[in-house]
Amino acid sequence: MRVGHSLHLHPVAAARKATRRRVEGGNEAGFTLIELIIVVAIMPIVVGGIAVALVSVLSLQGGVSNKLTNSNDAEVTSAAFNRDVQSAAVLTTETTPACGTGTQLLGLEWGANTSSPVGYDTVVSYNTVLTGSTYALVRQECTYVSGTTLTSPSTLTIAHDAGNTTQGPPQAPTIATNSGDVTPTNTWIQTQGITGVTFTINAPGTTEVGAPGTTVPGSGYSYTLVGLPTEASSSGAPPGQGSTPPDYQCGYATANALTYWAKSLCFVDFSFINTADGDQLENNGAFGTTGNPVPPSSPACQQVTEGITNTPYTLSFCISEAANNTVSNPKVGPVTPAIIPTYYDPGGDGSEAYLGNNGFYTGIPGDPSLYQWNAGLSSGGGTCPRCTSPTSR
Amino acid sequence: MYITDIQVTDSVGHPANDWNLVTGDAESTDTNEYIQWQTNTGSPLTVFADNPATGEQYGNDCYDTSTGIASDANDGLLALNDPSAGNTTTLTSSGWTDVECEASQQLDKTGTIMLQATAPTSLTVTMKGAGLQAFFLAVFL
Repeated sequence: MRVGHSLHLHPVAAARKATRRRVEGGNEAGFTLIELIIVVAIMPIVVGGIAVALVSVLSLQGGVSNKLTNSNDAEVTSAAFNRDVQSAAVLTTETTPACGTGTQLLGLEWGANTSSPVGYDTVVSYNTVLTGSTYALVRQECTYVSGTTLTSPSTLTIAHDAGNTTQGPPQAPTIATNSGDVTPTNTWIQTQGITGVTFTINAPGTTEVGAPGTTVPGSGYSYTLVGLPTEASSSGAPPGQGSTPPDYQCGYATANALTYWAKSLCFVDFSFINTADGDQLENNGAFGTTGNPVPPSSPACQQVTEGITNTPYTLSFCISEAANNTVSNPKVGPVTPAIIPTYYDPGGDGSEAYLGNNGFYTGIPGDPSLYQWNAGLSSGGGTCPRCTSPTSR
Repeated sequence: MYITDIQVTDSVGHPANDWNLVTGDAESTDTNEYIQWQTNTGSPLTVFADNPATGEQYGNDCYDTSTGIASDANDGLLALNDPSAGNTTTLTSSGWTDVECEASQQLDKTGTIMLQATAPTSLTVTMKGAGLQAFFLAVFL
């Protein structure tokens, strides 16, 4: 009966009994097969659970770390971005960096200085730089030194994780005006009249990059920066919305490598002169004893008011032309508004006008020049100070 | 051409500061041609460089070999402060309110003359063309 009872003992109970016997009786026979089977069956479950927990914690750590980094980036970016946008006199979204390297998303300049090769003392570019598979957003600043020299760019990484090769690089900011968004991708524009510059940074989440299964942890942290140029808030009415909007606006050339002042040089549009109805600005201007022209007395001139495009400012002046057939100025030729270039020579002998050809201040809108009608005549009065007669030269 | 009562004002009519009037040759100054610019006292004319990055001022736009006046081979701009006395020199610094550009260079222009003056109130432009002459006017903020 003892044997039979022993044979029918429950396996767990048998194992306990064997263990007890070893403890109590000094039995050194080792583990039973059942004990080993149980251990082998349970261990992978325990170890697997621990591994899963560890992976989760480590993954969470990476995400938190990225979030902290991006949060800090956002703080740094916000301070720098607001300061830069507030200071800017002109801006662009051209992709070629005005300062530094990479791909420019936003270019800003301020501190007008005609001695500087770029027209301003300070140039700041927000550029994207690809390192490995991750895009960083960097702020690079160059300042004018002297002559044609700008400092080498000083670089501050303001967003370490602004995109990757899977999700794409960060995008240029949105530039808003009262009349809608503008995209100055080929030119620089004045900041007057700009009501907001909005930068959206989308840090990617954990992303598979490269070989299948290879992932890069990411925070997925997104933030938006909005800057308002000081010029906009201090300028009063936006462009063209003054109390009496001018009928005409001066215009800018298309910016390119040959056009250093295109973003700041607003050319007067002379379209207001209507030559079709005989308006040639002629009057009875007199001449001084030295042969210099003397401005005619009022009201013999035409009052002109032109808005300075993309600014709240207005240029005004009174324009007139000397009369025909005076003793001091026997040959005065009338002028007419004309496009630039005034003269283009497709033959290529180099006799054409320089302004407006071959990329030099091209694309100026309207009629930005006053052009003589008749060859060989003098417009404006006076004689050539070093010429024996106006026609001898 | 007489341009008088020149002003730049803001949206409420207040005079603006730190602006320059820029003017220059909008055609080409060839043999037997000239352009003269005159501003009011206190707003002298200086060169507004064509290409500051390379140091180019105005190429050969005002290169006149017939005057006998010493000038740079490429930059022959002449400045005059007293035309009645025939006082001429190459424009090298500020202080001139009377500037003339002459040329005997017919082909292969390498630049154009552009001048600037800070907040002038008047500008007189005299053009003499063997062919045709033209000028432009611009504001630099």
